Amino acid sequence: MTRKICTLVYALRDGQVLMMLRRKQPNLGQWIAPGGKVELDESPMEGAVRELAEETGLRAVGRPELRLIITETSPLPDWQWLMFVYLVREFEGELSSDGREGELAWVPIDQVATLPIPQADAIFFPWVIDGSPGPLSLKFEYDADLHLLDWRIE
Amino acid sequence: MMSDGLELRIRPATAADERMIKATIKRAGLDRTGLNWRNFQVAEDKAGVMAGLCQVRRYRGVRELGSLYVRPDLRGRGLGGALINVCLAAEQPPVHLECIEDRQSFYEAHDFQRIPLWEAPPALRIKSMIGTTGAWLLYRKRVIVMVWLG
Repeated sequence: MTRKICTLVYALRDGQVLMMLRRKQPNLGQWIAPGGKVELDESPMEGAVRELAEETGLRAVGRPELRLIITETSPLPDWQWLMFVYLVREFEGELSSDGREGELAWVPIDQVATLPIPQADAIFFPWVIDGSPGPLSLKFEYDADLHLLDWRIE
Repeated sequence: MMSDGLELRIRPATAADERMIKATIKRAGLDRTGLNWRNFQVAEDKAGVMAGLCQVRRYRGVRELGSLYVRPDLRGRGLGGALINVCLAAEQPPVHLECIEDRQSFYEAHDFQRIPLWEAPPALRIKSMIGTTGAWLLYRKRVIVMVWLG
């Protein structure tokens, strides 16, 4: 069992966040923020900046804000995550994607929860954008069918 | 929700999928009208083998979710829902569908709601009346119309 270390990057612009419809697993067919695995030689922040650029064409200006540290566990060997969730308010470049990972769309903040998004993401999303002092640490526990059993703020 | 053990992905169909789509829909006993490959999304496994299908058909002012198929060995893992989400992502509401009554709760879980037949767009109503009669004669199943309003 190895834990995967990854990032989620919420780019915020005029009350909208950039979301991606996943065409691959995990989270196939669901909307999530861009992001991905942190490479061995990277810090989570470097990984976040790289993934944002690769998946969206946007380059973060200044320092992405670390909002959440999320642990997701389950009895399954391939569902063990440590996620660093960033908020990017300033960026440059044109939105572009090869569509390999999925389609991108700017979604008004109040409509994010109405999209098909993972249950945990719907729970933690408000803390990404609410301007509260961060980062916050959360833990989500799933059963073997990946139904959310429990979660807590640490 | 699915774990990533199976490495499924969903992609838009290509012309090369046309025969596979038609054969699959025929074999599954699904509605064989409006099988334009350009409207389809195809799920496939790591080996590139078809894992599921779904489309939004377009005809006379109607957009209709249809042809939802998941390979029998992959059922019950959320792939059908993933296909629906991908198909709807490119659409503006409303999108309608017709299904047998047994499937109502499945589609309700994916944000569709049942509507009376007379509230459906005329072209879907006509198609549905034909389908309803056929389904009743063949399987004694009631066909219903549902709508996704976004």
